[in-house]
Amino acid sequence: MAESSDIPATLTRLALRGWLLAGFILGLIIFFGLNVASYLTARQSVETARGLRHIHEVVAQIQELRTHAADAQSGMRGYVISGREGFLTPYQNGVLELPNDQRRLRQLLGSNPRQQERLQRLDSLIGELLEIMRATIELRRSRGLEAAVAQVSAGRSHEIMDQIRSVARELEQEERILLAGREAQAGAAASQMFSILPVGTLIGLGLLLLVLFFLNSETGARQQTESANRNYAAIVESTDDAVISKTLTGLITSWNPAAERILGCEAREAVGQPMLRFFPPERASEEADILARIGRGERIENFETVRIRKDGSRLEASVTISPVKDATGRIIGASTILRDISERKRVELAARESEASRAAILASALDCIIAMDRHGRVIDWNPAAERTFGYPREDAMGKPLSDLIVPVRFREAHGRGLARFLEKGEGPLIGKRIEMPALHRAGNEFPVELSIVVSRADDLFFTAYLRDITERKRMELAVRESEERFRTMANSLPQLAWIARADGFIFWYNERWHDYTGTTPQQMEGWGWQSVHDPAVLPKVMAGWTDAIASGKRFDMEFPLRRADGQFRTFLTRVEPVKNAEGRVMQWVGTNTDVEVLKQAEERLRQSEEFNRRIIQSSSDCIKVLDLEARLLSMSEGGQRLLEIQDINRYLNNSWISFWQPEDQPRVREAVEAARAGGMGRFHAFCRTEAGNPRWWDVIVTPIRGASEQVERLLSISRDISAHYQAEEEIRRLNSELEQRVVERTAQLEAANLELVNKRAELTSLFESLPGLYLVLTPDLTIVSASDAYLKATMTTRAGIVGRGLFEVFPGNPADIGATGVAHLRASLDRVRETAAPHTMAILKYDVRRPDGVFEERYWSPINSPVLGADRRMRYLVHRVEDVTDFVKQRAAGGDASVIRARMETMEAEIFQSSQKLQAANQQLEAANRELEAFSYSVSHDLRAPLRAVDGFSQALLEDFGPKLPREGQRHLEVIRGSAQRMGALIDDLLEFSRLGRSPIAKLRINTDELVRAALAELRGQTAGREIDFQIAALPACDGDHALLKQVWINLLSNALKYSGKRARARIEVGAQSGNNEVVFFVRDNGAGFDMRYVDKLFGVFQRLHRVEEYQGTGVGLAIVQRIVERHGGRVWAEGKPDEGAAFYFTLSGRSQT
Amino acid sequence: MKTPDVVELLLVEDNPQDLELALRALGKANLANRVHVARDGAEALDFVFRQGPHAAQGGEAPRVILLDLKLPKIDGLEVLRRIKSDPRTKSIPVVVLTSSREQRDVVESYGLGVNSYIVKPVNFEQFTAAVKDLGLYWLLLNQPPKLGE
Repeated sequence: MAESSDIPATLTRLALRGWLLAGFILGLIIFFGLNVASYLTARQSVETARGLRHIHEVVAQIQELRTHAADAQSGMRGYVISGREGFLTPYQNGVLELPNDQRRLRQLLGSNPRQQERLQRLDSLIGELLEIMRATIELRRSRGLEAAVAQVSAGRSHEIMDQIRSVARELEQEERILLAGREAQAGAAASQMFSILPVGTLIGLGLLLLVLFFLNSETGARQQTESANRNYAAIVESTDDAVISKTLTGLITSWNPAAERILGCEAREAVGQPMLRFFPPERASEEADILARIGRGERIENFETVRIRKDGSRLEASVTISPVKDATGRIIGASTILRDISERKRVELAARESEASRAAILASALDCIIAMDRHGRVIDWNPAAERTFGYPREDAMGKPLSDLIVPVRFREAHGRGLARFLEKGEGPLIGKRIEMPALHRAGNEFPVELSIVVSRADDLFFTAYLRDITERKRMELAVRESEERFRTMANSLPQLAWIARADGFIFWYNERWHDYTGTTPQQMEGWGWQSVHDPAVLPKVMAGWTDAIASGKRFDMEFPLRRADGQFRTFLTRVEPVKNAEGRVMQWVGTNTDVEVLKQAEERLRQSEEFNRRIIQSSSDCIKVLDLEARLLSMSEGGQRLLEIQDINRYLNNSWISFWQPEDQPRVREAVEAARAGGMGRFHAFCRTEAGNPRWWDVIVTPIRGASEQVERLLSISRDISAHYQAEEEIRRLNSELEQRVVERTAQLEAANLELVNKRAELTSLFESLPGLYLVLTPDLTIVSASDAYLKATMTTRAGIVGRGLFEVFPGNPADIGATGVAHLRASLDRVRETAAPHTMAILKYDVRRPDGVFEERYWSPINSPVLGADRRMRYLVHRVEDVTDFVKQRAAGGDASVIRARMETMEAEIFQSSQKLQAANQQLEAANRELEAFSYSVSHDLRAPLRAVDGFSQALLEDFGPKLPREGQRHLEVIRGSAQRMGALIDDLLEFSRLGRSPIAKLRINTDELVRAALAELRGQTAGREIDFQIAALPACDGDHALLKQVWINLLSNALKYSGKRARARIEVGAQSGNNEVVFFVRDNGAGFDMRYVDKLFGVFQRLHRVEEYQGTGVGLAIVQRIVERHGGRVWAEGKPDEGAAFYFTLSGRSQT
Repeated sequence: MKTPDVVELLLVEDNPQDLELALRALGKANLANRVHVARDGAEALDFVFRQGPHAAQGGEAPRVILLDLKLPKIDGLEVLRRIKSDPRTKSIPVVVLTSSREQRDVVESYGLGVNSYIVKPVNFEQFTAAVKDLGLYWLLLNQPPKLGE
């Protein structure tokens, strides 16, 4: 088989290879052809190029020849004309060169006969030309100019030249024609080549690609085939069936291991042998038949036959033979699958033999198996039948079956059926499974399942299989009943209900479902229920339901379902799985409960409860619940507060009626009765609170009804109306009083009113007749009143302005563009309103409009004053004004204004000049400051450098040459160094001092005690090893710049230490004195002191009262102290006595001390 | 004065006397053999950044720079600013050695990240001590960064 499947593949491959080879060779031929063609074309192009070069050479040569001829001629002519031998040089040159030219031309032109002929003409022409020229020269030499000129003029040489030119042109022409021909040829070849080359290349490439493709695919196919072959081979190797392939002549070509095993012959022995060898002699004819059928392409399947093994033993076999085809579909052999069926045959035989044990089977069967003969008489009766029907086998045998087990009422029918069967061969029972009642020997009937099989062995007989199905029937009945019960129940459910299969297919709905949805079972079947869902919710429902089906778990969900009228109501749906004993879901039972009502009811209940609770909670009334006997059951908290009850338990379950005063109790009882009867009772009564406070109550008693509308409890609401009662009482009392009062007051008021009116009139007339110009305004600048004088001055009437806005009545003069009157007046009034203080305005130009609308120029001097009420709030603004128009106009007319203006201008100019000066001075000052700063910076840098050099090199001198210097020299150097260092110190101090004037002061609260301690710590170098008696008092805090004040203390203490340095026991005292609203700090010592005569020099820069040898120092320390103290706004001063000591005092500033 | 290999200390000083004194002081502290001297700010920057005449020079950056503030061409504060703002050189300790006690110089130097600020005293012994101390301190205690790292 493995080889036979290779054959077609090989054939295919060979066929393919032929094509491939042909394609490949064709491709190669095309490429070769193309190569040859392009070689030829290229060669032609080269030839053409060579031809072109050749013609250029020819032309050049001709040109040269003509040039040489012309040169010779012109040389000759020169000689003829001038007679000078020197002109003959070109002639001689030409004569020499011309033969060369001719020779070269001949070489170039080659063997073309036409050209050779022209060349000969040219040669002769040149020869003639040379001859003429030579003759002419000769003539010139021998006979002079005239003769030569005549010779030249004869024109022969000119003629010859023309001929030479014409021959040369012909030569050139001929070459060009030749070249053109060649070029055309080459061009044609090239263009042919250009058209062939791409096509040829494409075809060649295409062929090669095709070959490559086929090679590739063949390789793929081969690999596939090989892998398939390998698979087949594996199968063939491992199968239990013999797999044999043979040729159409019946020769074995392959033989698998199973074949070896089954036919007992090894592959190497079998292959090449005819298959016929394994046929038993009586079946030898089969092979020819098989081969013929295979040859026709038929397939022989499961042909059971016999073969013989190598050892001659026979073998029962089932054979399947298929034709084997090559790739072209030609049948080239057969493949045989041979299965050893000896075993199967043996089993079949055994089965037949076991028929004998049928009786045993019958006996052991659970069903009743009863055999009857054609007359219905029992011929076999198995133990199950004995058990079921109560007849032992021996009793039953031979009896008609109908007499034994068929109930009496069916026996006739049974007999008829049997007779009909025997007659016509058909009956209602035969071959069917039916249920029918059967009779027990004991006389009771029970249901059986029956089937009868007719057998026709030797004679017709029946076998009846019966089974007692009492139990099953009972079960079935029970199930039916339970189902019926369930359905009845389901239909009577208030819910919608349904049952679905395990896969969710709903096959039953209760009636309520259909009633509610208005659908029919047909519409609903399966998944029809989706039509009554809200499409928006459906996907969610489907998801939940699908999950439930998948998981087999209970499913709860609330969703709307559409009612028959189209309205949706919310249902709570619950689906329970019904599982069988193995826990598998058999069915789903679902109910849909309408929760819409429930939900609404719940909501209503919640709201009403909430509402009640809120009412009771928030009520200021006393709300009580009583039972029907009017015993107090509960009381609202508000009520307990109202009644000032400490512990409500004391009152609960006591009669509410008894809380009231005896005289009120009948009315209370009446109200209770009314409520108990379903009505409402109401009364007013008095009752004290627990604390004893008297209260009047308005009480309402109403019934509380239970679910059955029966009055179950009573509700009593008491409202505290004590205040009402008291108020009413009071009102009553007051009313009577009031009436009296009103009469009195009215009389008084009338009198007062009259007086007021009179007074007002008086005042008004007084005000109005005042000589000044007055206007009274409200704060919002509405005119309240005006004096007559004002009206006159402004040409207005009272009626025309009162009640109107100030600026409405007096607008600005539109003709006066620069008018500022309105703005200034408004600003002044605003200011008065803000400050509540009078304001005198400067003279104001405020034109007034006459009644005819024309504005008059007016100048005013106004004063605006506020009028405040008792509450200090602005009531009115009084605008008093003086008309200064005349005065102003007079002044203007008098010319004073120009003088004033001139003076003002002068003053302005002076001010301007002085400010300019000030600015200039300021700039100078700034420049000076900058210079000073630059100076000090430069001092700091540059002044110290030479000093350092002086000191440093003196030191170097001492170190390097010290030993060589005399002692005096060394001392001088030390002096130099000392001076340099001292100068350095001076510079540093000076810089420090100047810096003090510039740096800003940062004032902070300073603990003076700590500051002094820190200063002393820095002076440790000066105190070390000395006996000093410090007396430092507690010092108050101060405000100042920490670093600068520290410097003050350091300088003062350092001074004290320095000048007391010569005392055996120095005493330094530090303290503070308060008084005169300032604090004075001081430092006192018992040192060298000073003469008070020089005290004013003490604080100068570089001022010293002692010699340097006595006390070190630069004389800047105290100057620094003074500058710092002064910059803090304080003072510094000193007291001293020579040889007794000195004291330095300073304050910082009066204000900053505590 | 200058060894081709490692320059440990760059002294930037224009004043010849101060320079001689400083070298003398360094010599006393046995520090003078690894000193490179720059006479103005430009030269100092060329040396530190290996530019101009020092472009071809490799090797390590100086371990300490002693810098005067008042310098020709490029001011000492500017030199300090450039050294301290370049990541390659900002870790080289720079000691300002100047005559100036001016507060603004001090403040500005510290603002630019100077490691020490020494006022040159007039007194030569103090000067020697100061130079010696700071030279030793920075040379012995500081690990130098490599230029270009």
